[in-house]
Amino acid sequence: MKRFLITTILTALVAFGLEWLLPWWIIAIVPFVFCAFILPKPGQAFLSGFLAIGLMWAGTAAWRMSEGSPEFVAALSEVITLPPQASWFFLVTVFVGALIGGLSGLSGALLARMRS
Amino acid sequence: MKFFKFFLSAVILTALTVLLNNSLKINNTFVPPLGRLVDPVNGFWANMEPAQPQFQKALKMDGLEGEVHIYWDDRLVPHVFAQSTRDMFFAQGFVTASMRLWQMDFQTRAAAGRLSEVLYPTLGEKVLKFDRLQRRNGMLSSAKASAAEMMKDPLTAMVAQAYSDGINAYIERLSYRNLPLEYKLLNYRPEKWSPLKSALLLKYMAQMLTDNDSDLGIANAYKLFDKEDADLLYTRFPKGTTDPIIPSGTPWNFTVPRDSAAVADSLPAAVPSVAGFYPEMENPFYFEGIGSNNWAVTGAKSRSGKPILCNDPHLALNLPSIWFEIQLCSPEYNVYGASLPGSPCVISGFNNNIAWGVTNGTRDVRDWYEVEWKDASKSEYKWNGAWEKTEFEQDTIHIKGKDPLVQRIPVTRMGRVVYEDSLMTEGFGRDLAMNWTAFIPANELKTFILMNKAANHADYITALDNFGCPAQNFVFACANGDIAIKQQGAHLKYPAGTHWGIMKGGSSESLISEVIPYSQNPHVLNPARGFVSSANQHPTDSTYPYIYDGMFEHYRNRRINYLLTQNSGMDVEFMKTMQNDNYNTIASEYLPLMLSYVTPADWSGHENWLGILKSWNYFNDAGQVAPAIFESWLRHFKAMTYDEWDGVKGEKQLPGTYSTWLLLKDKPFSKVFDIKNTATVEDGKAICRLSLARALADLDSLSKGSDEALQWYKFKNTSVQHILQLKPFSRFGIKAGGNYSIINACSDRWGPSWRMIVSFENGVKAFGIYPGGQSGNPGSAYYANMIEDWAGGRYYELKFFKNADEAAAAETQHQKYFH
Repeated sequence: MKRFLITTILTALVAFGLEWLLPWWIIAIVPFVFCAFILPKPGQAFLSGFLAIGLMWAGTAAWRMSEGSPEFVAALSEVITLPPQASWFFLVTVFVGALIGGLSGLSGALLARMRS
Repeated sequence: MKFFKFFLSAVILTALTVLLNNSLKINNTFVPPLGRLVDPVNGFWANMEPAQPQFQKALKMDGLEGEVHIYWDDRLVPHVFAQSTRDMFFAQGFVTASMRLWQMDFQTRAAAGRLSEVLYPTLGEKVLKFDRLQRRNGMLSSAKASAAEMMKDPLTAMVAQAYSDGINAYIERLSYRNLPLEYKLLNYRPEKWSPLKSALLLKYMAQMLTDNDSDLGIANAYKLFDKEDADLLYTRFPKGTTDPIIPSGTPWNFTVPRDSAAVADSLPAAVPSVAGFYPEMENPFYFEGIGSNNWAVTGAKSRSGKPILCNDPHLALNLPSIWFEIQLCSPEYNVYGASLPGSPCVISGFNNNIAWGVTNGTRDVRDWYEVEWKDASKSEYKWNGAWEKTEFEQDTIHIKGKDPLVQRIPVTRMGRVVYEDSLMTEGFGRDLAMNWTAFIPANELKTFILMNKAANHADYITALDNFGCPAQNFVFACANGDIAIKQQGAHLKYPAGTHWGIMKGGSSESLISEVIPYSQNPHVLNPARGFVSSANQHPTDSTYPYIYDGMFEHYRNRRINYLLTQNSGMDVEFMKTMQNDNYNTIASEYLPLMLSYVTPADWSGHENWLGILKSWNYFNDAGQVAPAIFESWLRHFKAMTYDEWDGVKGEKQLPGTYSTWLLLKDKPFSKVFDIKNTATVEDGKAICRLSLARALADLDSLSKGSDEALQWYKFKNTSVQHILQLKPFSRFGIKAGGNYSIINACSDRWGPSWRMIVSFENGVKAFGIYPGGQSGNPGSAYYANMIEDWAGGRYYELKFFKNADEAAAAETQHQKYFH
C-alpha cells in the first residue's frame, strides 16, 4: 500500500514537472518508468498510473478553471463537438490522461515481470 | 506469454498516444490532436487567461536599441513609449503579435492564397479554390511589388523591418503552451513575419474594399434588360443624386479637355460580344450599403469653438476584431488610434495636432478586358491586329497532405486571366483579363507613417500623395481650426464611352493606364458650410472633369449632411448620438409610396401591422417592430421586381435601392415590373401588393402570433463571428439597431467596426469603441468585452497620455522591454 502511494505521488509530481518542459506525451512514459522499477504488479500499476495522471490533470484543469471562466471551457467542449458544458471537457481531459497513465503503468509493470 | 502481454500493452499504449498526438481524418471529418489539446498544462487549458491578466514586468529581447515602456490600460490598450522611432515600431510589432498573432498570420495567408498549406485537411477543396483564385487575382505578386516599393524608401523600410522584427521576437519566444489556440486546433505553427506580410495585409484590405466592382454584372444587365431600362437602372448619376463629398459648386482648380457627352451619358462600354452571361465572380466581400462614415465640423459649428472629427468604418463584424487600439510614442511621434494587426502605424486616429479617418472611395478601380485567343492552347492572343505571345505564370500552391498544385496563369498585356477552366461558368466563350489599381506600384504604408506625425494640412496632403489603392476618403481636422477631405487613390483617366462594363481589349489604344494626377483628386479645405463628410457617395457632382463609376451610397450621406447642416453648437455627446443614429431614409421615401399603392384589403387580418407602420417614426431602433415589417416587404419587393435575374447563370448585379425607388416613383408602369412567368402584366403597384402578401406570410410564420419575435434586433440578428466561423467563439443575437444605408450601419454581419470621435477642445479629447476586444484569445476576458457597450451606443474615453510619467500615474500595468 505504501509502495503504491509513493509510486502514485512520485509519478504525479514528476509528470507534472516534466510537462512544463516536454510535450504532453511524457505522461505515457513517467508511469511506465516508475512502475517498471517500483511497482511491478500489473493491477496496482494500472491503477497507480490511472490515478496519478488522472488526478494530476484534474487538479491542473481545476486550477486553470478557477482562474479563468467556465464559459470558455464550455466553448472548448463545443469546439471538439462535445455538448457545450465545461464538465464534458473536464471529464474528457481527465479520462484521456488517466487512460494513458494507466496503460503506461501497466506496460511498465509487465516489462518488469517479463524480466524477472 | 509474459512477453506477449507486455508487447500487447505497450503497443496499445503507443498506438493510443500517437493517435491522440496527431490530427486525423475520420469519415472526411478533421479531428484535431485530442491528447495535445486536452492536456491541462500545455493544451487548450493553457489558453485560459485569468480575469485580470498579469503582464511580465520586464522582458529582455534582442533587437532593441534602448528601453521601451509599455503601459497597459484597463481595456488592455498598450501605450508604447520608446526612445527611438525604430524601437517604437519594433514594440508595436511585439505587442500586437502578443495579442493577435494567429489573426495576422491567417489574414496574410488568406491574402497570399496560402491557406491550403495549413488548412487543407480541415477545410478541403473550398480552401484550395479560394487559394487558386487569390493567385489568379494577382494578390501575391502585387504584394511583392508593393513590398519592393516599401523597401526602396529608407523610412518605410526601417518601419516595416522594425515592426517585422518585433513580431518575430514574439514568435521566437513561443512554446507550444503559449500558442494561440487556433494553431493548436488546426495543428500548425506560425511562420516568421516579413515586410512582405505587412504588404499582403494591406493588399487584403485593398481587395476587401475594391473587389466589389460591378463590371461583369452591369454587362450582364445590358443583356437582360433593354437599353432604355438598363440606362435608367444603372446610370452613373441617378436623377436627383445629391450631397456628393465635395459640395456642389466647389470650383475645380484645373481643367482638362473633355468630351462633353462623356459624363452625362451613362452608356456602358461593352455588351458581351459572345453568347451567354459573364461568369459569376467570387466576391467574398460584397454587400450593398456597406461602407463607412466620416465627417468633421469647424469651430463655427462646435460648442467649444474647436473642430470635431468622427469616423466609423463599416466592415465585417469579426472576432478577433479587425482593429487593435494602440498609442505609439517616441521623440517624433505621439499618436493614438485603431491599427490593423499586421501593419505598422495607426490607420484611423489622432495626435496632438491633427485627427484623420477613412471611408471607402467606392469608385470602380478594376477593369476587365476581353481576350481573344488564337486557339485553345491560349498561347497567343489578339493584339494590335496581330497575334501576341501569352506569358504564363507558373504558380505552385502547396497543399498540406497532398501533392502541390501547379496552375498556369495566362498573363496578357491587359492583365492576368482570372477566370477560366473550372473556375469559370460553363458555356462562356472568351476569357477576361483583369487590371486593377492595386497593381500600380505605390507605398501606401508611407501615408500612415507620415500621417501619424502630421501637424497640419500641408503634412496631410504630403502623406496622402503616397496612397494608391484602395482609394479612400481621408477626412482631416487640425487643432488650428482647419478641416478638409480628400478622395485619395490611383484612378485612371477613362475616355468617354468606356469603363462601366467590360473593356473591349485587344489593342494598345484600348488599354487604359494613365493615372489622374493626385492634385486633381477631389479635395476640399474649409468649405463655407462648416463641415466635410463622406459616406461612400459620389465624390463629386457631374461637373468633375473625369469619368468614374461605382455603386455609390444615396442615403447615409444625405442624413449626415442634413444633421450637420441643421445643427450647430455640436459637442461630443451630439456626435455620439449621431454615430448611433438609426433614421431609415430608405423607409422614409419608400414606405409612403408603397402604402399609397396598396389598399386596406391587402392588409386584411394584419391591420395591427399597418397601424404600426403608419405610426412609425422611421427609426430602426433595436426594439421596434416596424423596421422588420418594412424590411421584409422591401426584400420581397426587390426580388419580385427583378425576377429577370432569376435563374441567370452568371454574375448578377441588381440595381441599387435608390434607382429602384426612382423607378417605382416615376415609372410605376415600366415593363421592368412585369413578372416574366405570369400571363398577366404586373406594374409597380401590383408588385407592391404581391410582395406585401409574401412579406405578411413570412412575418406570420416568424411571429407565430406574437410581435416580440419581430423586434428589429431579433429579425436582423446581428452577429460578430470568429474568422473561422467557430460558433462557440462567436456572438449572436446582438441587441443593436440600425441597418445598411443608415448612419448606424449595423446589419446582420457588417457594421461600424470602429467608432471614433476626436474633439480639439482643451488640447485633444477622444472617444472610441469597437465591437470586439483587444485580445484575440477566446480564453481572455478581453476577447469580446466591448460588444455590449458598442451595441448600446456607449463609448470609452481614449487615454491619450502626454508622456510616460502620465501613463505611469494612471491605472495601468507597466512592462519594460530591454536588450
